[in-house]
Amino acid sequence: MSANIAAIANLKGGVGKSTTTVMLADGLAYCYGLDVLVIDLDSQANSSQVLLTELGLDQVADQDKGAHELLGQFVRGEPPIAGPFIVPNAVSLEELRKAEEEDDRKGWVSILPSHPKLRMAEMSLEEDWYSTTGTPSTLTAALTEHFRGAVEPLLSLYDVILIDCPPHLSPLARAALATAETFVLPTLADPISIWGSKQFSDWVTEHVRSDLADNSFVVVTRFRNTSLARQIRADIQDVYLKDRYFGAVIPDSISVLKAMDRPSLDSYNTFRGKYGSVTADVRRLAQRYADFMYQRTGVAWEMVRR
Amino acid sequence: MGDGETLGAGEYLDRLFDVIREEALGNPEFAARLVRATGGQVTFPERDKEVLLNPVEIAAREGAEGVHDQFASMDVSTLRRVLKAHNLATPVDVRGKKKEDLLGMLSRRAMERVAARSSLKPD
Repeated sequence: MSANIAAIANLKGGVGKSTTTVMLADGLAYCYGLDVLVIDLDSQANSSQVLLTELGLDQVADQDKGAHELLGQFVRGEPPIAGPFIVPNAVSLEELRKAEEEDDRKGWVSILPSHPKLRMAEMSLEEDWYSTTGTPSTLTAALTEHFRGAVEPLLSLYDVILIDCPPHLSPLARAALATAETFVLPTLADPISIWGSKQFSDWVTEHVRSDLADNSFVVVTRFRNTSLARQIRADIQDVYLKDRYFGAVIPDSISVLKAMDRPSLDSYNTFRGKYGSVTADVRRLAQRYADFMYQRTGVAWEMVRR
Repeated sequence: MGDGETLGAGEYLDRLFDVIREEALGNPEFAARLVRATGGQVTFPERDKEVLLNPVEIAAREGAEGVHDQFASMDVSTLRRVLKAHNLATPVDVRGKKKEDLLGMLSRRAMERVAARSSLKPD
């Protein structure tokens, strides 16, 4: 097993990065029985909140788990080890929990969670780094090395690693992009979002990853089926982000909002119960991503649940 | 009121309040909002509690014991519906649970919600 690393990224906030991350994690774990690790590098910690709940997030931060601890390790000049900071159980799907209980694990979700203190830690690091002879580029390079070193031992433990990136291009975000092999690009079907997606795509291609276009998986989120939205979606596919692989379209739905609100850390729901009217969309998202990966690696993931 | 008919201020207000009163009697949710707006304590008929009582609001105001006391008279199926309606539990969470377990879950999770979502206030 050697995990594929995907960065879920877009320069613009509010385009559904965390929603896409969680749906993809659940969809791949449920449908394909994959072991998924979510690395949340967005200090807004939305995907961490969704998977662990708000109280759970504070609890794990008190236990010294989280991405800010990995950054602290870098600041202290310690070797990169991510394992102790990972929360091994971020499963909210009853089918996965039950299979695990019966000693027949088929799919699992773990998380290296984020916390708002991550942003403070990064800002403090940037201030110290730039106060000497450091530059954003040298910090990015050093962070990339640390981050890659931390991820390397995890590759044999998981099938997929999803990095939920922050909505800006900080050195930490760039380190994540430099570490990833594939790029999931969520966008809304509105004029501002597609312009932002193009800017992000062009900038990253020029400065961080020249292979971005070939390895991009575009997801249109919060889609309202209007003629304007359909026209914009066609523009994204045929003009703005031409030649990218397009994943499923996630509709604008109350079911998405409900799925992102886990009642409690000891609360579980079935896949269908959690995603309600968008269950088929989440399944399609996972299937499209599996097809996308098959085209790149030649490895076909076997579907274990429908 | 016919064309050209005029009424005094008191009569207009009587008519207005009659309409509000009628609506309040037929719409307990509206009645509860009106009474709360005046700062009064609302007592709910048993049949309306499921719709009108918000466990999170009660947890914020009266704590876990308050939640337990307010919902203690409900039967198992009503408690299940309340938990699900306020997104404090999924159908999986409430399956096969006894009344005391459901009441405990309601109190605990309502308190968790309050703890997680209340903004910090200076002392």
